[in-house]
Amino acid sequence: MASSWCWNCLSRLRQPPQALLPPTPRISTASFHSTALRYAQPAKKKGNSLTVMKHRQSTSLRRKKKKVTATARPPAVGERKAMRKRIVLSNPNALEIEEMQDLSPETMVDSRLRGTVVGLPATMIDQLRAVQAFKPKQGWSLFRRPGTVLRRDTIEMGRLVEKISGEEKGKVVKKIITGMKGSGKTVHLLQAMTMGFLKNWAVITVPDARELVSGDTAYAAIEGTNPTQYVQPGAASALLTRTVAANTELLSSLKISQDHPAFKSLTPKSSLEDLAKLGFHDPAVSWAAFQALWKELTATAPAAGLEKDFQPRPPMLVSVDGLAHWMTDSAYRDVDYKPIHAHDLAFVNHFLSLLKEGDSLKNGGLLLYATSSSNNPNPKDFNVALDQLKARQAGIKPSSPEYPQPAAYTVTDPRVLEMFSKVQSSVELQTLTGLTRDEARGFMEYFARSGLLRESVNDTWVSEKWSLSGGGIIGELEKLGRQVRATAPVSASPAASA
Amino acid sequence: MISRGSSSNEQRTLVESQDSSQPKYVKMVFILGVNFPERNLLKASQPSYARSKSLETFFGIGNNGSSRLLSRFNIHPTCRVGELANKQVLDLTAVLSEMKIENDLRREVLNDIKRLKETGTYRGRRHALGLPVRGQRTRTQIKTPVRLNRMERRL
Amino acid sequence: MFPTRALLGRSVWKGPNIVPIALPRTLPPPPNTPPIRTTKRAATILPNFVGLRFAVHNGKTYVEIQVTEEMVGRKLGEYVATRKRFTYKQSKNK
Repeated sequence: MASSWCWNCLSRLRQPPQALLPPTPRISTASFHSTALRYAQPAKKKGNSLTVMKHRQSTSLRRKKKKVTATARPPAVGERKAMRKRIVLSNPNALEIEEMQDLSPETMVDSRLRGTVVGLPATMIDQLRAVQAFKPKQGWSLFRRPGTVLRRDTIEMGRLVEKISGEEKGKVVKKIITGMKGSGKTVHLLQAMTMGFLKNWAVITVPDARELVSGDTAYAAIEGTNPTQYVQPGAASALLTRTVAANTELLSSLKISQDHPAFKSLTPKSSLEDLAKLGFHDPAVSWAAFQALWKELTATAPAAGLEKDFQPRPPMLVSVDGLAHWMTDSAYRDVDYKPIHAHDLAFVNHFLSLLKEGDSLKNGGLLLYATSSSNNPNPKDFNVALDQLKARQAGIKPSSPEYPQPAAYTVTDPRVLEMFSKVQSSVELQTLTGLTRDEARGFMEYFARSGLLRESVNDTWVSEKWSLSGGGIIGELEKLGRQVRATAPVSASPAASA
Repeated sequence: MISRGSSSNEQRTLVESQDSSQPKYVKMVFILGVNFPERNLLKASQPSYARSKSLETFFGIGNNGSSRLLSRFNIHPTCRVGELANKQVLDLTAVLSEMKIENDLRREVLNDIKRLKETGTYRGRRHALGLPVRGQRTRTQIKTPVRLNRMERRL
Repeated sequence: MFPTRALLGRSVWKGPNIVPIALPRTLPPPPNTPPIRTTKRAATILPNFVGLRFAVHNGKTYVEIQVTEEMVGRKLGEYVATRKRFTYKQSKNK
């Protein structure tokens, strides 16, 4: 059948092939809303029919990896770690506060100074560094010189320290310090150490409990122990180094008063420092040396024949930071490839056994074992044990249904709960909370006087910051203090921001 | 013993001079006939330390094997080769020499494959054809068997 | 860690897959005994099969195999392939 159209006439109007046309939006005809579609962006086509593919070109988004070429020498061994652990205690740009007092035997018990920031005595900075009392992430580098707030807990501790060194000689106080993140547990330990140094106590610290269980130092089984105990010579040697560096004056003044058959080179004239040095020069005997040193420091009377130079031993401060790490299995393994429980490490066991009832520190002193919330393995049983301790202090009897128990159907670690059931009556749980408003005001004024704040510190402002910091959590307050500095108003003079 | 990517510097066992802080040559420790630089970790505890591993360079000792070896001699997981006591080095060497590792293990594996081929099993045939042995699909992605499975298999 | 993945194939408590197969009355069978025809490809080769001839079904025909000592513990089907090797054939009508 012939068409009524002349096809040739239409040939001119023939559409060019699709591929040659510019991509035009194909507008679907809708009964309404055609305008919106017309102005809309052209819809993306699904297939790439218009783009001409090269022969066998890959369609995936695989990029060529850049070859890593070392441009500079890598840092020397240990340099990066040193940078990571670097502690800056002073900022020359911060203003000096003239009337700032130092922590001293007088100021540490003075309740009139409550809420003010007192400086750490400049002569003790080296000692405090030696016991690793400062931690890298604390805000020491903001201020001219290190200082801490005298809060209620500090003054209470100051009184306790004074009592133990004076009227109640021989008293032992054992505390486990907990609290929220940033509540000042580590700084509380630092304050305790400073007080210990001020009162010429023997200060023995474990600044990071994790180091003992993380499998980073050598260990060796002690033969003939059941269950097998393990010594860590490297850690013991480090502990002795710390102890000697921090207590040089004290240890060099005290003479040997007990028999030490393991150390033949000691004479009655040798000081405790000599004894400790034997340990850290030779890791093989470091643990024995520490035990000997401990025996000396806790001695109440000299052994026969050594009475001549005997001086009464001072009280001791023993502090541990990050206690929770000692309440699980360690990263070490025994000969049968089973994980070694932290309590089986002789070092850990020594410090934990001090918590037990009775005068573990014969000459009196303070045991402060703090938990850490910045690096917390969060062992369930330890948390339960702490809850139980808290309940006991609140007067809840173990037979009461309100007494916390480990959750049913969970695997429990009997050693932790068992240990705490033994120490419960002798250990006190101290929970650090936020600062009071007055203390917070003192702390913020310290920021202002150091030139970090330009706001006038008044009651409303402090109260706002106090609330923002979760009720005066000091770590949060410090963060707020820093933030204010970072977002300074533009109108402020540039000289002040320098 | 097969060669293990030995640069000329690594093979030298010169003792560093005690006074200089930067030793010119790396001190070496000899374990089962292989020299390891003292700074190497005994066990590569993380993949990022893989370049400084020592025990795991032996064919047949991996993560688990090296952990077990370390725990057997009370060596901590981040121990470096240089920190080992002489006795521990000797102990390790003694145990390693009794283990089926390196060429003994290679020979055993190759013999097993050979036995499969000789008895005419399906698995042996797949080995010989350069195809996956354990029922994987062959439509795509058989690069590894193509590379490894062949008549004269090498390890 | 698995000691060997080969152990994952079958539960240990089940033991080997022992299939009743009619073995010849006299062992060793006299010469010219026909091979044992079977379709039980999953039957474990037991020690008393050694030296026998089996004709194992490959899905289409029965293929003869001679059981040797090395085959003990494996399955009959392992020695008889069920697939042909693919070969490209030139098509005729081109």
